[in-house]
Amino acid sequence: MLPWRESLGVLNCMLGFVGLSLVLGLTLGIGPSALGAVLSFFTFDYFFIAPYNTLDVANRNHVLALVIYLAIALVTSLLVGRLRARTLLAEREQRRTALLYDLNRDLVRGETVGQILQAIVSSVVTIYGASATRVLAPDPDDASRGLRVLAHAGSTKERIDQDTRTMAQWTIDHRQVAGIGNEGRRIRSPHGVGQPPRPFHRSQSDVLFVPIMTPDHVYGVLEVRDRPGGGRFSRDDARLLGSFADQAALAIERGELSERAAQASALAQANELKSSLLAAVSHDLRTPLTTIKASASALLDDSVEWDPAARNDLLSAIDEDADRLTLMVSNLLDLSRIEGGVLRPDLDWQDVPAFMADVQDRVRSVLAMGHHELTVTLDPGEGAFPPVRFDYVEIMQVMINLVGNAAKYSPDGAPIAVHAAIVGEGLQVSVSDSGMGIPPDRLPHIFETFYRAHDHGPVSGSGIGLAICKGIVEAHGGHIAARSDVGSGTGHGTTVTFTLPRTGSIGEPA
Amino acid sequence: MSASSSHAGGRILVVDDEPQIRRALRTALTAHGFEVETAEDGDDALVRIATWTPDAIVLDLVMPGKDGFEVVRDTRTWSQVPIIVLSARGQESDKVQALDLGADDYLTKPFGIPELLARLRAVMRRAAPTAETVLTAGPVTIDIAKHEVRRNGQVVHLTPTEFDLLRVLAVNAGRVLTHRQVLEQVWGGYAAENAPQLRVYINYLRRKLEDDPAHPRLILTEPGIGYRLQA
Repeated sequence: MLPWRESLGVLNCMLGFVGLSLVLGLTLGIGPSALGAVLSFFTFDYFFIAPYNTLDVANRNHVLALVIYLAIALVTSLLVGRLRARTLLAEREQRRTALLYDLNRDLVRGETVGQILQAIVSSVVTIYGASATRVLAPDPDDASRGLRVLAHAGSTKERIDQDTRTMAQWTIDHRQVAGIGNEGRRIRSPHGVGQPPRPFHRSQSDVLFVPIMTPDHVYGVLEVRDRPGGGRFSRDDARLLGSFADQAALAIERGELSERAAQASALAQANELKSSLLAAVSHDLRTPLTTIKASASALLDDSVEWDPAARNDLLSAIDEDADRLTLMVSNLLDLSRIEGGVLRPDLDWQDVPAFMADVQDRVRSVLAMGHHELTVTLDPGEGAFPPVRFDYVEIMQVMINLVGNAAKYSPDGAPIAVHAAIVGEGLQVSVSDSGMGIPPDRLPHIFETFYRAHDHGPVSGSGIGLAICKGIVEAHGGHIAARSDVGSGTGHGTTVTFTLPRTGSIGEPA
Repeated sequence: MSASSSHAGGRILVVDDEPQIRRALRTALTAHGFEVETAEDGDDALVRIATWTPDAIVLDLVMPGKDGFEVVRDTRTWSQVPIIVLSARGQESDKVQALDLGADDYLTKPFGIPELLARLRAVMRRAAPTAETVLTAGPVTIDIAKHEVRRNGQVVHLTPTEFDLLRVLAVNAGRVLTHRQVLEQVWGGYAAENAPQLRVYINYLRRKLEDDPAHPRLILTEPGIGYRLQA
């Protein structure tokens, strides 16, 4: 029996068995390796130590050798097994780090809390192969401690069943991971009959509830459900999910802070807008009021005998500045309608030549001060000027604003031209002056509310006139644009042109 | 009389960026016998102050470019011409700043012409050199040389500080003085912590001089700005 026993030699056999322990330790871990060491010890004794085929040992020296062998085999399997465990652990840590790194990258990309949560649930589903993942959070609108779904991925239902509610609530309250199995116990309520929810107490679960929390605040619960084919969730999985949840909580905190910061800055911007509106409005209202008050109080003074020219001067100042006040108030009203998105043009067929004649009447006082001359030209194309559908009052407001601007920004006595034409299926109106013009870099902004192209120039204003023109024209489904020759030395000034669809259409409120 | 027949009232420079306001003030002031020139910005104003030498200036504080504050500051480096600044309600700190820079009085827009005329007369009267040592304000006469104050002919006893305070208000009668100006002239040097003390002394004076100290008609409070002795 075993003819190669003598030729192989005891020493080689012994080394062979140590090698076996090593291989077992590397591949299967400490337990199998130690078992292998013990079994090989007996095998070796049985087959290779005389007397053969018994566990007896004839030579006393062999006893010592056997004991040393056993000790070496055991120590080897122990060391190698530990090495393997550490390697596995390191690999797991590496995988976990990689996953967290990926997640972090997604989280940093997410700008809103919603995007961040979506990145978390998506990556949990991808990485774990979970059939469903949700983020549940206490519903602030629900006093009865209801939960709502903030984000979900995989095949989830919107509904939150009673078990889930109970477990999630337990997780939030206790700030600990909880897990339940699918089979067996159904959890009814924390206090009623049946099994009360417990923290993650078993090594295996089908559903995990992981709190998403910072030291200060529990934002919600990460619910990870079923892993078809991937086995149940282990403690390790729970730990890794805990890291995910921690990252998520930090990201949410950051997201909430930046959302709050954005809200605060939007609020600050709105406030700034409001106060600049107030400053502009108070100046624009006070100026005509000052003229009116000064003129009226002067006329009321009995101690002066007014000559007709001075009297007329003061009365026309009152008249003109009452018009300015009216325009200002109309502009403010329109601005609030435009900003509120409630500007609805009252469309009706209008006779353009008659409308333009009315424009000339109404801008008379605006033009009188700077002695500007207004010329109106009409180009109907062929035949008579066809009627056009628009809101008479609102387009009048546009015309008064445009002509008023032309007068304001032109030298005294400079002519202003209004040209109305039928172009294609629309009415095109342009208002041209030969004033100071608008620098090209400012031209794109002139229709913005409160924007003033000549902010520190000699002309004051609130910067709402053109914004209103744009709002009104766009509410008619038309468009408005400006062109300016500045610094060319030809003195062409500025031309503002707007177009209205001839048959009228209501545009999107601005 | 005709609105533009005489310029007996003096030369007034009106500085405002709003042409309508310039026009109304020019017409109204001309009708009241003033000779009026206008300027539409700060630089223009400074040139006219130097070349036309007005007797008083009506100056809008808020103007594009060189504003009213700069005009007051520049003018005061070489001229004591009376300046009335125009400002909006709710801009009390602007008024105080302009007054501290050397403006003589202020008016809040909108204002009536009678108000403007009264202020103009007050600042121009003060600008005229006077050797008088006896000042009269309503029922009160103040003899600065004799350190004597009489109310309806009766001698009123004032402490030295009260007298100093009344003297400062009286030589500026009709004109508003900021808290800082009063504190500097009475106590010497400005200290904000003295402001309550100022209020206390104003109350002492009112109790001794006013018919009804709760509703003063002589020593008026200009809210947020200072005090004015009604001329």
